[in-house]
Amino acid sequence: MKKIFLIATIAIAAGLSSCTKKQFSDAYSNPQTVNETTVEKQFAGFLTSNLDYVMYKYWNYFVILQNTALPWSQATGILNNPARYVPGAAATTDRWKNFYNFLAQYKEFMNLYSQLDDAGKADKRIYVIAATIYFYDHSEKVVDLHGDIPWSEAGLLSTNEGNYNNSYAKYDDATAIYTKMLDDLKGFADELNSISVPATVTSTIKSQDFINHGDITLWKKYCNSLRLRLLTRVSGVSAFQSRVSSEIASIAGSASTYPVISSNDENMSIKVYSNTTPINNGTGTGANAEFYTGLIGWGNADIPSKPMIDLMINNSDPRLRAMFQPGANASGVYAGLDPSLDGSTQNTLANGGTLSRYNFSTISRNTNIPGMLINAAEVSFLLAEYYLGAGDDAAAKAAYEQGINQSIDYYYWLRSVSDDASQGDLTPTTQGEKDAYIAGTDISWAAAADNAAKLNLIATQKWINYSVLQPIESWTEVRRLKLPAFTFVPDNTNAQTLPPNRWVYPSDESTYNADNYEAVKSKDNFTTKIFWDVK
Amino acid sequence: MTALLSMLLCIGSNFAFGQQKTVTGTVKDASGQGLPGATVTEKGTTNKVLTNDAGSYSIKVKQGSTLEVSYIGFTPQEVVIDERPVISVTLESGSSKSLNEVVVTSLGISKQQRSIGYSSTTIKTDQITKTAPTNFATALYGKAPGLQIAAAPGGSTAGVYVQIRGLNSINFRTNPLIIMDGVPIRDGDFNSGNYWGDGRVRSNGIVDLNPEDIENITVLKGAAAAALYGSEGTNGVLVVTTKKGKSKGFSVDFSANYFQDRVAYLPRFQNVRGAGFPVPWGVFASDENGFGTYNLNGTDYRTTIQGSLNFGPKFDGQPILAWDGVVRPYSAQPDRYKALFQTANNATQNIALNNVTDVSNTRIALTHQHTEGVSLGSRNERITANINSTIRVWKKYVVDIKVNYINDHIHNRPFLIDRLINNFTGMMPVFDNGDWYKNKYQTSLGYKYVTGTNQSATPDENLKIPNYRTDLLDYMWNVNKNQTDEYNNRLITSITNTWQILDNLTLRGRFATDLTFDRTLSKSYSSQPIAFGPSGSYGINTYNYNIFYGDVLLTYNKQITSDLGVTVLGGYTADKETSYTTSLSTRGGLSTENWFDIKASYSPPTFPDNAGAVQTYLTKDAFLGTVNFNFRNYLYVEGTIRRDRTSTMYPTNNSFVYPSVNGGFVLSDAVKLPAIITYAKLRASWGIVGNYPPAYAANVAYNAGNYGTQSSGTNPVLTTTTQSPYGNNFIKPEKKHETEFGIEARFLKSRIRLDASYFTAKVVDQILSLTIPSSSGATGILTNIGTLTNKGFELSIGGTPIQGKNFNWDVTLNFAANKNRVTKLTTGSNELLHGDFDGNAYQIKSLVGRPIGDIYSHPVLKNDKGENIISSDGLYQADPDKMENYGNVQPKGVGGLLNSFYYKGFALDFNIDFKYGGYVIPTGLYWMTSRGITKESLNYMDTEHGGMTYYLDANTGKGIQTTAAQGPNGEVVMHDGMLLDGVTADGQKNTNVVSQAYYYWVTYNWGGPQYSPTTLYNLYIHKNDYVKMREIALTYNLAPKIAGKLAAKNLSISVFGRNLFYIYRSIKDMDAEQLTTGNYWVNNVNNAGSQPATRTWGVMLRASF
Repeated sequence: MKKIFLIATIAIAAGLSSCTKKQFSDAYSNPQTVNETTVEKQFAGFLTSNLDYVMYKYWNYFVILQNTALPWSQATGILNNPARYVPGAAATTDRWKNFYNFLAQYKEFMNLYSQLDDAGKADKRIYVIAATIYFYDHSEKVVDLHGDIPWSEAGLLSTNEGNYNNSYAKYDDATAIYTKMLDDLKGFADELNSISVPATVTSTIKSQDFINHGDITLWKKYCNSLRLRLLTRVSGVSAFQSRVSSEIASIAGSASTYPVISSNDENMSIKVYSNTTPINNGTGTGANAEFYTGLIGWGNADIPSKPMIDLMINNSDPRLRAMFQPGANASGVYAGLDPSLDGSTQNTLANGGTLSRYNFSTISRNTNIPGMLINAAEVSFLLAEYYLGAGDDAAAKAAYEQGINQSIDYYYWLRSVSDDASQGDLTPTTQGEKDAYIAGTDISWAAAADNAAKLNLIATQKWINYSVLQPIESWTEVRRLKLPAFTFVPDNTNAQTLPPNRWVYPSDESTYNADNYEAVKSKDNFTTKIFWDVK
Repeated sequence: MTALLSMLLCIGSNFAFGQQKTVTGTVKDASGQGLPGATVTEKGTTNKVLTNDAGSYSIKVKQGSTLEVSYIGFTPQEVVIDERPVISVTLESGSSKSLNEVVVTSLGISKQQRSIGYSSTTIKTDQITKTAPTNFATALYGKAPGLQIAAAPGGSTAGVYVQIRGLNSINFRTNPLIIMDGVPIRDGDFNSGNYWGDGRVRSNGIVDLNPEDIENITVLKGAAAAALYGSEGTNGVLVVTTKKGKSKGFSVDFSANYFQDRVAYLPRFQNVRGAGFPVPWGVFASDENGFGTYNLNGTDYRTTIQGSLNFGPKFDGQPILAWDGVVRPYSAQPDRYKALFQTANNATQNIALNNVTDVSNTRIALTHQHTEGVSLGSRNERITANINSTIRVWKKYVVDIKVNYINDHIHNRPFLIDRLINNFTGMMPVFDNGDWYKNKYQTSLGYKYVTGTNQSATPDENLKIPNYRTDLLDYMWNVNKNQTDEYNNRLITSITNTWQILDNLTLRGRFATDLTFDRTLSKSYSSQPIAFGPSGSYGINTYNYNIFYGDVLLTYNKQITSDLGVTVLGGYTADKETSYTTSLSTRGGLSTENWFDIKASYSPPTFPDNAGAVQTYLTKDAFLGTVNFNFRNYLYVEGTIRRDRTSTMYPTNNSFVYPSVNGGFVLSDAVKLPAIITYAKLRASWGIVGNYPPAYAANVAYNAGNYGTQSSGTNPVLTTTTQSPYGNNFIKPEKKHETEFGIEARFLKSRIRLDASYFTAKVVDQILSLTIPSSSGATGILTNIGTLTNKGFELSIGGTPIQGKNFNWDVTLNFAANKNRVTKLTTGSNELLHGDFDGNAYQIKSLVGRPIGDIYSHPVLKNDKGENIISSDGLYQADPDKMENYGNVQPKGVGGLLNSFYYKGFALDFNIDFKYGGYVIPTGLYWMTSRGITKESLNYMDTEHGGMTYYLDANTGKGIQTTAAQGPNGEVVMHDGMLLDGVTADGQKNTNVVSQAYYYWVTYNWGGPQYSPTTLYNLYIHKNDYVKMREIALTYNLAPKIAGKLAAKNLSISVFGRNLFYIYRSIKDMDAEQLTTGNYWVNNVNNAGSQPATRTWGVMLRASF
C-alpha cells in the first residue's frame, strides 16, 4: 500500500501523463494563422496587399518617392544632393518586394479559383475579372519602372505547393506583358457587358470588394479607363499603332459599350471609409500624418518646384491656394524651389521659410485622401491626346478643358473632406475663375501655336493633376512625352548625371534568380529605355 | 511564505551532542614546515579552527568523529579521531582538485568524473563570483576549453552570446541548452542590433541567474555528453547546479560588492580640427578660412559650417559661436562624449542562511542587486530569493525542493547608440559636446527642440546656428524623454521525489516550472504643445512565458560479478512551453500632455496597430534509456538512447531517435605506470544529437486579416494571404553526429594536470531558411539542405609551478581550436547569402568547402596588367563586377590563461582570455573616418603628417604637385595631398593629387559601387584578434583571530576589475566584443552601434558566520 501510494505520489508530483498526439498537432499550428481559405477571402487579401503603395503612406513617400519620382517629375523641388539620380537600393527593393508579394497573392487567388468546380467558376467569374483589372493596373507601373519583369510564371510557390525549384520565374518581355494586358482587358470590357452574377455572389462581393463594392458598371469604367491609359502609353510604338487607334476610337466612340470614368464621382480610388480600419493613410494626424512625414522627408522635400508654382501664379490657377500654402516667412507669397540652384543655396532658401509647401489641409495632413488609381481628369487628358493625334481639334479642346475643370474640382473636393483645419477656410472657386484660367495665356488651347504646343498643354495639365498624388504615373508620362520639358542640374559626383530612364532590378533578382536574370542582365542599367519611351 | 520558510528551517534544528574531547597537533607540508592558516574541521559540522603561525591547532571534537584538514594548494586529508591526544598531519602538495570529483551530467544525474567517456569541464563557485559579474556567463571567459563567450555591451541588462565547439547551425539556434538543477530553463533570443525595430538593448534569459547562488557549472560539450537531450543537444549544454547548505549546523554566508562601469575602448578620435573641408575644394560655402558667419543680436560671429565632415580649420583657441549660442574658444572638446553617458554604479548584497541536519539540508538566500547601464538614466533593481532544501522524509524517500524567484525593475533599458555610430548625421563633430545637447534637446517648456523656423512654442529658442546635429538631439530626447519601466518576475521551481524502492532500484520523479511574468510600461513625453497637435505616447506590454517540465526515471543497478557492475535507467520526460504577449498603446498621441494612461489616447486604439495578443505553444517529450557497465572501477562503458517528439515539426513527422555510446578507461588503475604519472584516463565517445526548428517556422498556413467594414450596409472585409517566408511540412531536425577522443592525466603528484580532447562532428539536414527571389512568391522557404562539419581539439594544461609555505602559484591554460566547414548547401548552388549590405557594398555568405560566414567585398578595380585604375577624380575604384572573400567571421582559436597566486593571507587572481582568427566589418568605425572624426583621418593632413604640396588647377580641377607658393593662375597651394598609385583609364600614370580629406571622405563613404564607386569596403574588413586582461581580483583573507573578533569564521575583502585592458588587439578602435548584438552569429559581425563597451572596478566583502 505504501509503495503504491509512493508511486502515485511521485507520478503526480512529476505531473506526468504521456503527451498525446493531439497535443502535438494542436501545438504545431500557429494560432494566429488559418489552414484553409476561400476565393473571396484571398481576393480581398490580394487587394489589401499593396495598400502601402496605393494609400499615402510614410514609407512609400520617404524611402521611395522623395528620392525618385517626385523630384524627377519636378512635382517637388529637386534638392541637388550627390547621387540624387540613382534610385536607392531600399527604394527599388522595397517596392519590388511589395509588388511580388501582391502578385503572389493574385496567383494564389487564381490557384484557389482554379480548384472550384465549373459552376463555382462561373458564379465567381466576377472576382477574377475584378482582381485581374486591379492586378494589371499595378503590373503596368512595375513594367514602366523596370521594363521586362518576371510575371506570367512569377509568384507560383504556393500553387506549386512549396516546390521552390519549380518556382524560379523567367522574365517576360515588357511588350508582351502590355500586349497580354491589353488583350485581356479588351476581353473583360466585352465580358462585363454580358456577365451575370448570382445574388449569393453579389451579396458577398459587396463587402469583399472594397474598391467598387461589386458594382459592375464601375469595374467597366475602371477597365476601359485603364485600357485608355495603356493604349496611350504604347501609342508611339509602331507595332501597337494600329490597335491603339482602333481601340481608343471604339472607347471614345461608344460610351455605352465601353464607358470610361467621366466625372469625379466615378474616380477609381481606394477611399478611407473609416480611419479606424486598416484601409487608411496611417493613424497619425497633424504633423504626425504619414503622408506629411513621408513627403517632407528630412525636412524640406514637400516644397513644390519653381516651374509648377510659377506657371500657376502667372495664370492665376485656382488650384494654387488649394494645393499649396505660402511659406511661414513668405508673407503670403507663393514660391517654388528652383531646381537649377546649387545644393547649399537651395538648403539655405528652403530653411528660410519663404518657399511654399504642399497644402497641409488639402493634401499632406489630409488623412481622408483617397488612394488614387485613375481619375476623371486623367481620362480627359488621355482622350484629349487621342483627339489631338486623330486631328479632331474641337474634341481635343473640349476634353482638355473638361480635364482642367475636373482637376480643379477634385482638389477643392479633397479640401472639403479633409480632417485637417490648420490652413483655415479655403476660398471657394467659381466657374468664372476656372474659365478665366482656361483662357489664360499659357493655358489657352486657342493660343497654342501648333499641335506640339497643344500636346505640351495637355502634358502640363496632366502633370499638375498628378502632382504628388500619382508620382509614378507622372514620372512615366514625363519620360514618354518629354513634356513638360524640365531642366536638371547634372550630378557630376556620380556616374548617373541626370535622372535615369528606368530603375535597375533589386539585387534580390541578380543574386537569387540569377539564371533568369541572365536574360535581362545586359539591359539592366539606367540608360535602357522602356519600350514605349520612343521620343 | 514566511510560515513555509520557518517550517523548513525548523525541520533541521535538532542538534546532536555527544561526548567531547580536545585534540591538538600540527599541520605540516612535505618538508616538515608548519602551515599557518590551515583549516581543521570536524567533518559534517561547522566546528572548525585555523592553525596558528607555527601550524599548530587545538580543537574540541566528538569522540569517533573525523577531522578534515585542508589548506589551499594542498590535497585535503581526513583523519579519524582515535585515542591519540596529539594528531599531526602532513599535507601533500598538489591541486585542490581531487581525483574523485563528482560531475553533474544530463537530467541532473551525478557521476564520478573518472567514469565518464566524454569531455566536460566544471567551473566552481569561487571562479564564478571572484569579480562579481552580474551573470554567470560572463564569468566563464577562458575557463572551459571549447566554450566561447561574448557579452553584448550594455551592462547587466544586455545579453550574452555563448557557443560551444563552433557553429553547429547555419541559421538557427547556436546557443547551448541551459539546465538548472536538472531541469531546462528559459534562455531565448536577444537582438540589440535592430535600431528601427526596437531601439533598446535586450537580454536573454541566461542573465537572470544569480551567480551568488550557483555552486558550479558543468559544460557538456559533445554529442555523447548531451545525447539525452536529443533534439535540443546540438549546441551542448550548460548544467548549472545551485548551492546547498554546506556544513552541519546553522551558518550564515554574507557577501557584498560595489563596482563601477565606465565607458571604455572608444575609437581613437582626433582633436585637431573641426567641421568643414579644405576651402578650395568648395564642398561647403564658407569664408576663405573655412568658417561660416552668424549674426547674433547684431554682432557677426564666426561659426563652423553646418555639415558632418570634420576636415575643417584647425583649432586656434580664438572665439567662435557654437551652435548652442555660446561663444567659446575654438578648441577641441576631448571629453565630448562624456555627457552622453553616465558612470554606472552597481552594488550587490547577498545573504544565505544554511541549516544542515541529519534529515535535511536547507539553504535560503536573498540577493539584492542595484545595477546601472552607462546609458543615461538606465538602472535595474533586482531581488533574487533562492530556497534549496533536501528533506529525508522517510529513510528511503527524499524530497528536493528548489525555488528561485527573480524580481526586476528595469528602468530605461540602455538606448541604442546606433544613430551615433552608423549614421553620418549622428556622429558628433570634434568641436561639439554632449553637454551642449544636454542643455538643448528640450526647450525651456520641456518640449522637444525645434530647428530653423519650424513651429515652436518658444521660437526664440529654435536652433539655427550651425553646426547642431539633429540625430544627437534626438538621441538625447529619446534617452531622457522616452521612458520605459519593466517589472519582471521569474519563478523557477522544482520538486524532486526520490524513492529507493530496493537497495538497487530507485524511482525518481520531478516536476519543474520556469514562469516568467513581465510587464513593460512605455511613456514618451509630449514633444510639442497640444495646440500644435497631440504627441507623446503611452503603452503597456505584458509577457508571460511558462515552462512546465516533468520527468520520471527508474534506475536499477546490479553487481553481476565481483568485477562487473551494471546500471540500467529508463525514463520519460515531457516539456510544455507557452508564451503570451499582450500589448496596448495610445493612438495618435496623448490627449493631455504627458498624461500616461491608456485613456489619454487621442484616438481610440485599434487592432493590430495599437493592440496585440500573441500566443505560442511548444510541446516536447521523450522516452530515454541508458545502460552503464563498470569493469573493476577502471573501465566504464555507457550507452544511451532517446526517442523524442517536438511539436514544431509536422505531427506525423516529428519523432526522432538519438543514440550514443561512451567509454572511459582509467589506465593508471589498470596497469602500472611510471611513478611520474599520478593518474591517466582515456576517453572515447560517439553520439547523435539534434536541433529542431523554432515554433511555427515550418507551418504552412495563411495569414488572416480583418480590414473592417468599408461601406455602409456591408460586412467586414475578411482576408487571407500566403506567408513569406514559406514553411515546410516535411522539415526534419538538424542532426549532429559526433565522435570524440580524449585523455586526462596528472603528473608529479598532480603538480601538472592535462586534459585534451579531439572531436569531429558532422551536422546534416541543416535547416536553412533558403532565400528565394521574391518573384517566386515568397522571400524564403524552410529547407533541410546543407551539411557542415566541425573538427577541433581542446586542451587544458595546468599546474602548480610554485608551491611553498607562504607562496603558491597555480596556473591553467585553456585552449580550443575548431575548424568549421560547410560541405553541402542547396542542390542548385554552392553558396548561401546571409546578407547583402549597404547596397551591395559587402555580403556575408557561406560557401561549400569553406567555414560558415565569409565576408565578401569588391576589390580595387585593376586593368589587365594588374595596375590600379584611378578614377577621374584621382581615387581608387571598387570593381563593381567582382566580389572577393576578405575573411571568415569564425575565430580559429579561443582560450584563457588563469592564474592564482597565494601569499600568506593574500590571493591574487588574474585571468586572461584570447581569441584569434575571426574577421569582422565594423562599418560604423570606418564611416567615422569618412567624416574626419578618427585619428586615422589626420594622416597626410599637412606636411608633418606626410601630405603632399599641390594646387588645384583652375581649368581642369586636377591636383598638381608643386613647390611654389601658389599655382600658375594664382591657385591656392595646399599641403594635404595624396597621390594614389595607379594609372588612369587610358593607361597613363596617375598624377592627380587629391586632398586627403577627399580621399578619406569618399574611400570610407557609405554604399556599394552603384552609389559610391570609389568607396572601398574591403578596407573595412579586419581580423578581430585579442588578448585581454579579463579579470583581476586581489583578495585578503583576514587572519582568523581578527575575523573571530568580528564574530566571523571567515572574512575576506577584495578589490577586483573586469575588462581591464588589452595585452593585444588587432582592431584598436573598439572593444573586441563591441559588435555582439545578438545570439545568432550573423548579428555579431558588423554593427558597432548598440552600446559603448565598459571597464569595471570594484570592491567586495565576503564573510561566513
